[in-house]
Amino acid sequence: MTENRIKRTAITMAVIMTVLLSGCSRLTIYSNYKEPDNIVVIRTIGIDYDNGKVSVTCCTGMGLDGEEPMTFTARGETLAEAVADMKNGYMRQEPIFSHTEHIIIGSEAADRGIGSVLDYVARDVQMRMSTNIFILKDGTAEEAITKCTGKTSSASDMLTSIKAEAPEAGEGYVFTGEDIMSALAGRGCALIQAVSLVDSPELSSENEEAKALEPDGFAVMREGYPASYTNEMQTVGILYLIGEMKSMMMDVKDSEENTVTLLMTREKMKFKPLERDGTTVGADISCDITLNVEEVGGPVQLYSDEERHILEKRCGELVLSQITAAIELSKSMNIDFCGIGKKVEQNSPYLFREIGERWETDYTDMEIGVTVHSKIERTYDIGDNVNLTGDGNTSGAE
Amino acid sequence: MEKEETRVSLKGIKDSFSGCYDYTERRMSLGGEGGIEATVCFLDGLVSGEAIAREVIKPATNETRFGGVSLQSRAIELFMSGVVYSSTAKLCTGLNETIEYMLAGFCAVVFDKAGAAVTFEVKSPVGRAVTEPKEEKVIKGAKDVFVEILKTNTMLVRRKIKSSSLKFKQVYIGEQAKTMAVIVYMEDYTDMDLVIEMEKRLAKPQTDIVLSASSIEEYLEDRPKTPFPQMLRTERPDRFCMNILEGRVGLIVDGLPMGYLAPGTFSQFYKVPEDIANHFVVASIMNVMRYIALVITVLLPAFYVAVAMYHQEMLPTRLLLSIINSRQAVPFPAALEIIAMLAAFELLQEAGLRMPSTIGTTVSILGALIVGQAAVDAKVVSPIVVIVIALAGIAGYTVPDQDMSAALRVFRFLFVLAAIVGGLYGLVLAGVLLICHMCSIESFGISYMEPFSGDKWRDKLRAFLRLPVRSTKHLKPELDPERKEDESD
Repeated sequence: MTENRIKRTAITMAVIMTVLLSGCSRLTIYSNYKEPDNIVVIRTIGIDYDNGKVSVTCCTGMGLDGEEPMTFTARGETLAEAVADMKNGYMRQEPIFSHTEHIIIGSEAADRGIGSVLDYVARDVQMRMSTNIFILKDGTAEEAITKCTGKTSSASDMLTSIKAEAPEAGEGYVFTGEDIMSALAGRGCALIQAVSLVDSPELSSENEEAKALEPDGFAVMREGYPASYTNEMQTVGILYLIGEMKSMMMDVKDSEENTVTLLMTREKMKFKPLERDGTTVGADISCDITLNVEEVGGPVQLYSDEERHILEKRCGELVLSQITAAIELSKSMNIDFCGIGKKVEQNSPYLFREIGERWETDYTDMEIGVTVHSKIERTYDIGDNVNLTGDGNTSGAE
Repeated sequence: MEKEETRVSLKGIKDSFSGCYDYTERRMSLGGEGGIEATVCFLDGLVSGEAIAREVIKPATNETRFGGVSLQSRAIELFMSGVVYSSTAKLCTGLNETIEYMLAGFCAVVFDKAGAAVTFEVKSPVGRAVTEPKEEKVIKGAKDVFVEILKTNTMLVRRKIKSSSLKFKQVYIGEQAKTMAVIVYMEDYTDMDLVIEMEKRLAKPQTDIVLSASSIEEYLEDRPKTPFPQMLRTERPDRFCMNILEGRVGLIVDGLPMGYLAPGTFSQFYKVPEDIANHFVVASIMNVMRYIALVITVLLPAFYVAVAMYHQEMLPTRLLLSIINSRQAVPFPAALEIIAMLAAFELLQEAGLRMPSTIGTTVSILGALIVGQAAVDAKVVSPIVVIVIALAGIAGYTVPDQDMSAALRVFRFLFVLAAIVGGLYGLVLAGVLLICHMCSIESFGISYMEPFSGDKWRDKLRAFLRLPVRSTKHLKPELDPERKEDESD
């Protein structure tokens, strides 16, 4: 009987204490209570530095039923203060940041360093480490978000498209906060997808000032500050080196100077230590690419081994130039932002040990050899005596 | 000093049944006119008049059989030796004993001067025929069902287990009515402690008459206050026999069209007779699906509340946007929405049970239209809540046992309340408390969570999988008396 009474008393006290611990008028023990219809989901955050204050611009993105996106702006001394100002401010609904997909940092804010942004992403309980980070090459994030947001478009959707399509088109690769933080922590350098504001003829029909966001290479970050921006060749080379080149169209000329469009279907990179006289002197990179013929601009004799070898060689030269451009940029900055050293070390840790320290400090002097092997796998050639050019001449085997 | 039992007499029987319109007497002279006077007493309706006439009165008035008999004691001897055709003949000297037999469907031939009566079983065949099961339907398997008559039920069991070690131990329940019941067990391997315990518990009921299941269940269960059923109740003889062969003790009560089985464990309520009829792979998959449905029915509404109110970051973005869209213009908080829909679902279910079948369809249509369509169109509830409740309800119908299903519905509400107060934290806390509660229940000395609480993985797997018949023993390890002895050693 006493035992039962003790049990009942303990349970009653536990229940009362649990309820009282809430400190909340809604009889909940969680302060995280939010009604679903009282929240607004922020999908993109733009960060700028404006007259000594941090400016945060948020965008919701297009609704599921085509609802117009909403944008909000707030300012504060710090990023956290600006976000808090937004939460406590004039908004009828409470913004939540747990579904924020993209952060776009304005050029001026980027120049001041992205450390505080990454720190906020890491510390805030709502923000996810898998948020995609972009740097706007020119202009403010507020401008980018507001000008790209209209009745049928939003900056969020544009950035989502860039994430999906940039690697396919060889225009870049979107890194997440986690990727950038681990790269900065490990190598002291990182790559961030750069974007630019461009005119958009499709969107200008609804708004003359409407713009669009397009991928524009990478921003190379050293210790959290942008050290350089890559051009088109370097961007493609970097994609090869980081292993994110999915597929790419390449135009090369055959022996008759006809343009042949090749599709790179597979690429395989190998990173080995470069040895000379038994000593490791650098890195040896070999790249094997597989190609399909997508389009021929003239009577190309694809059945001919010699012709195919010419195409393969020229394609290989093109890829080599792209990879070399990326390596040269990294050497000029003395930063191995592509992680070549790490890949060589993973392949041959004992051999890499010989040059490990020097790789960090004297990267510029390291010898990096690149070899590209390309092979046309499929020509999709439809056969003999078929006139593909429409000029009455036959093509095919004689 | 014990009062001596009153000897049987015609006057005593008449006085006991005074005011009973169904009490009937029939005087007869044994061996024809001039023979010994005896009176056949019976309760019309309980007995078959035709059987009395054919089996008792006709042979008793036959001159060849009883002609020349002058002493009532001699007549009684002849009655007991089989001169009368009835298959049962019991000699009663006490008035109460005679009345008990009469109430059990016997007729009593009273010899007033001798102060004795001979009772013969002549029960009326009136009673419900053995039909198809209504609650426990199966596709493959026997389709007979228990009825209200005890003898028919024992016959159904005996037909399935043709073994002399199958025992039916007769007991009487209740002070006044003395309802007859039988304890069923296999003498060879059922733990006799279970049988003794069952008998002990059956001696407890102070109820006068057993007319409903709850009259007896609350006395037999270890923890009557918990909503979880602790004894399996089945209307199917094949399921009853399957459990008897596993080592359980059964109870069949006269007047109740069901059999009880003890001890009852949680996993047992999730097994259906069809499992043994189907291929073991199919049966195992269906069993696993039932457990998944258990999780859905108990946790889905609470999980929705927790995630929608507290943990929106757990949802995929598009789903969250869809929920937000669907809740636009709904005036009630998410918590109230869920509770109201759960209550509406329970009301519909109750109404469906009580409604005559002729207008049952109308209720279904009204329910679907009002609760489903109109409420959503009027923005009283959001469509996502209707889907959540419907899914949880459908999952609840996969529970094979109705008592277990009812218990789970109670806990569904409790989980929703816990989620409203504490989000996922509250939900998990409620889950832990529920599991602790279930682990604390015992049924006839066996843990309610067997075989989950067992040591061996093979035993735990038995709960989810139906192993091939060739590789399983009928007798369940937790019911094996030898295992109990080993454990106590």
